[in-house]
Amino acid sequence: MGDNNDKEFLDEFDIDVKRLIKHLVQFIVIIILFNILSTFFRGKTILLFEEIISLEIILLILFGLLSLPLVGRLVADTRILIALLSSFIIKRFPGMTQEVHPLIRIFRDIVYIIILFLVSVPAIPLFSQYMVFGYHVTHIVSLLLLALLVVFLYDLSKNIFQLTHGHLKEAAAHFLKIMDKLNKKK
Amino acid sequence: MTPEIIALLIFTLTYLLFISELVHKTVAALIGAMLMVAYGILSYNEIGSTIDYKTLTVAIGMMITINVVKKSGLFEYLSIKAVKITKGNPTKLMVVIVLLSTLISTFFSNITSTLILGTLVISLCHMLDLDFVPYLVIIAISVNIAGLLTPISSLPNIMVSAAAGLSFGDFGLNLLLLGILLLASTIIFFMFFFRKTLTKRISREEIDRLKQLDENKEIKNKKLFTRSCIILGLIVFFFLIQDVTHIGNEAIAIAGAIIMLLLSSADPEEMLSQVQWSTIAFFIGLFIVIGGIEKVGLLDKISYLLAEHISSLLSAMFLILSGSAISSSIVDNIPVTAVLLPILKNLNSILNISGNFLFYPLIAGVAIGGNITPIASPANVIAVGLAEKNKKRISFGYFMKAGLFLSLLHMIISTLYFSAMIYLQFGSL
Repeated sequence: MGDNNDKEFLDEFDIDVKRLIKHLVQFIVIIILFNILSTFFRGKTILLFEEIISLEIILLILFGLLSLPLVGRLVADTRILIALLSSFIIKRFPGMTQEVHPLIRIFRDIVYIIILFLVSVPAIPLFSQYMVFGYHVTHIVSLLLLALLVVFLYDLSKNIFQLTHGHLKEAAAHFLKIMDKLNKKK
Repeated sequence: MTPEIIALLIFTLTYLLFISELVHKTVAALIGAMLMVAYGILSYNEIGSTIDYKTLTVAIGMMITINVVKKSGLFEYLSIKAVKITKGNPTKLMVVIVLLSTLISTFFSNITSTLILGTLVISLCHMLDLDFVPYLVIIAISVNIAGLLTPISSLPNIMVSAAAGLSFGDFGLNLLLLGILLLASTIIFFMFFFRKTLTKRISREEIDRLKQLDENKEIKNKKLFTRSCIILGLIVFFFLIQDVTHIGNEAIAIAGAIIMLLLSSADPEEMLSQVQWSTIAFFIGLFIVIGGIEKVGLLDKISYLLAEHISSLLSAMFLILSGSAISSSIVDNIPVTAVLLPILKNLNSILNISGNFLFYPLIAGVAIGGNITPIASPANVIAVGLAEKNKKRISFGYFMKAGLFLSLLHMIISTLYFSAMIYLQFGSL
């Protein structure tokens, strides 16, 4: 069962990474293209609406507008990847696979966040004592803890959203109903 | 990170572990205690001074005594005898159940009381063709409320009476009337709330079936039954004359337990093994965690902060009553009491209040708070579990509908009661 889930995750992860890389390459190509083109326009100006404007700036705006949808896609890809990675990592921690109320899940996320802080207190100074490796090990440990912190914060936000989303929707529907009634009365 | 922040993080972690049920509450308390020592907040030598041995002695003593009494079948005998008096009338049955819950939970833990009465009530309801779900809710709520009556009727009371030196007399003088008022209002509320079940007509055949119940069958060992009755009577007697003898709760509880083991003919090995050692370990862990945050001065700061914002005894009382009720509806009432006790002790001296007045709203608050949700007290969880075991469901909403309204009613009654108490004891509000 677990192996199946892991295989599913790896397949999905593979597709997402490929998509992210594809969009990233497209984005890099656009940047390189902009760099090459901008050399031709460097120092050149144009008179537009009685204002002297640099052609390089116009090119930057054009490329910016062209690459905006791509940036959006990149952000969306990263979000999906983080969601996938976080659920993959989080389910390795005890009590995080159980079907519990989102509020309990929020408390569990906070528990793990506190544990990360408590682990960082002795762990970071412990490695820094060793002159040669210490510096690098401290960095690796700090980054690892930070990555885990991001994962738990993401899960926490997701659960808070899950908990409040339904209620907010209900409240909005209720509010709309009241407004509707008031309008009909008028 | 400063020791204050580390202690606060450990404390928060421990309490979140209680709420999130990620690990067993005893393990959570012991993790918190271990971290307090591992991070140097408390030294090994300081651990001993954080533990309240009086609370542990009373808890262990009463648990041993109750284990022997449980074996004798005394409360099952009394329950059947009392139920037979009702002649199957659903309303009378409800009143008897509330009274029995009060009596039994004075001695037994909430869990044991709910189990004894719950099992009996389910079989009775099957016999009388009644819906047992309302009765299970009635048992859980009554057991929680009855928890405020004596220094030994609940674990938070054992803690408060050990810390503040409250005797049976103090409880009788300050909380008995409130307990009676709350139980009376509970009966009236149930009459209205569960009127559908309580007004059902019972047929003659069903009453005859009830009459056939034999309370004597519950007495498994006559010798054990007689002796445990006498010794339990003596223990209660010594608790009642405590203000004359000046013997502490812990001395009576542990001496009673030893005499019970000596004279009752029960197997000491078996009785000692049935003590809820996990609860004792939970207490120890919790005391160390609280000791840790007390040592770094966090509780003092909270006390001073509260004292700055408290303008009168009335506001202090309301804050303690509502604060403890709300928090004990989310967290188990033992950890709530454990953290509030040192704060109240400080507040008592900062506000220069004579006597132990501030502890009474705490006792009432944690008892009332246990009724708000089906997970707020172990008695509620057992009642829900018993219903499920018998193919019925007590939903979160169903329990809360009864529990929340009743708790609000109890809060109003308690606020009025304590306001009157302030006026009578201190001359003004």
